[in-house]
Amino acid sequence: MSDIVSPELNPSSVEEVFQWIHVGRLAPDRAIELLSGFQTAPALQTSATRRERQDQERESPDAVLADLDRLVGLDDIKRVVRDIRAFVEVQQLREDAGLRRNQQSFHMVFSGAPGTGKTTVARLMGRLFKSLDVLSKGHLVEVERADLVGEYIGHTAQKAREVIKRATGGVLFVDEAYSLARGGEKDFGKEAIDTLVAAMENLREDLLVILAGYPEEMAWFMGTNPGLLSRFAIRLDFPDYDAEALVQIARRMVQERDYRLAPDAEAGLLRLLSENQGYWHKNAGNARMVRNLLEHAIRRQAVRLSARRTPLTRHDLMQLAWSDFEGGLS
Amino acid sequence: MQLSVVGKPNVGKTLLLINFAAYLGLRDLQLEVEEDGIRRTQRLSLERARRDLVSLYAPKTTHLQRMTLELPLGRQHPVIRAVDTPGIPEGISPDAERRHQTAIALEQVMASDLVLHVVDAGAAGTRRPEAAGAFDVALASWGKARSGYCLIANKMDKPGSQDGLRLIKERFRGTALIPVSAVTRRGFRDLKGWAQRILL
Repeated sequence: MSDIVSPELNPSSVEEVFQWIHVGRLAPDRAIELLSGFQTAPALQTSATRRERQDQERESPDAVLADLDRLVGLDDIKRVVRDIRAFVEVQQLREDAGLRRNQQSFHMVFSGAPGTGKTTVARLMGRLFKSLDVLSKGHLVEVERADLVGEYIGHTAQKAREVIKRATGGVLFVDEAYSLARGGEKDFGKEAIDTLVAAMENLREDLLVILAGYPEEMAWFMGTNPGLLSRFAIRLDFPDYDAEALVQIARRMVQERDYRLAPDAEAGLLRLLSENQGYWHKNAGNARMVRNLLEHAIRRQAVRLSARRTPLTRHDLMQLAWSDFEGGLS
Repeated sequence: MQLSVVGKPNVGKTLLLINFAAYLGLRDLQLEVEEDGIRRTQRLSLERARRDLVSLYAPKTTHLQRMTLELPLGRQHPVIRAVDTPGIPEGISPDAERRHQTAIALEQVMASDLVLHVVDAGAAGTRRPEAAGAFDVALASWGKARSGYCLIANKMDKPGSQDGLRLIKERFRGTALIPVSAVTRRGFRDLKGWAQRILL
């Protein structure tokens, strides 16, 4: 069973493992393996070496920002993140100097189409705030309406509180957050929002809430509830990638998978993406669509190669030709 | 102190817990059921618990059941909170509620002092869903490093369970193993002895 789980799973905390079982990313056997990693490692070490290890494990904010810079595009967002870092560090210096700390919450709204990097940036935010000592754990808990809203009176608050408990110390990422306000006055979604807002006030120090969704719907959502607007001070827009950025993303993705794009594939991809620009963004999802295209091409390449009689070189095994990509969008 | 019983669906976790409590001389148990976020407590006689909580054919425990048992182990009577977890299926379940219960069950197991990991000796080596699988192997290797962990080969009353026990012994070599039958109460003495050693 564990072989269907992608190997990149690398939870940062026990809560994240439980969250992943919950959303169906983890089979129980894999989960136990991951959990035992958390449990046995500290038990076998003395406290001194453990402390040392923790220090080593702690990332510097620079390392997180370097990871952020590796993302394609998103220039405005990179700038805002740098501003936040500077603000936090200066506040800490002020506190050390005995000056009053400027209370500010960092709850955020991410608006953008699917596949524009919202979750990726949210994950980085968790790591950044952990490295800056604002959050104690820095893990990401991804939820949607169904995780927060209950079916009968009283159920919602219970459900929402459980989610908040899981997310405490890290980032609570509410995807498609506008759907909480969709059902009208009698809908339990409103109760979920209230519970969330209450938790944000109580746990100001150790919880970061990020609401995410499509730009238009998020604008409407924030408009329906003036209290929200003031509580989410930081609003980031994730623009759709243009064709060149998408090709750059594709190049990086194939590199990570030990493949290479043939020149005709790169040209064909650029043509395909720019011809369709603005046409699919809403539904297909930017970077995610590129990934699907690539995965399709990788499968097609395997078929092409296995049909060949001549011996295959390393170059053949790495090269993705344009013919592999054709038909991948349909 | 917390004791948890964990394993695949339909390996006999609930009956094991109830009958073990009866073996230790208990008459009733405090049952705390958490369903949809609402917690109810009720006092059940063991008779009644057996009738209501156990099914012969299908997995019956779908929610986490907390029972408070006062287990007379040793000179003191340590009060043990026993947690009966819903069966954990192999692989990723398509049912969200099931996954949620799995997450809660594992959370409880990780937090327990005593973990009874139940496998079905009657089904070992067969293709039935109760047969030990990847999840059981992973849990056993997690438990090896802990003192409060024990593998229970249940259903030793079933035909073919001797062969099953041999298979289980081979597969989980190096793990503390107690063969038990929750129905005939065979092996309960060993189980009690083990628990006493851990608790004292």
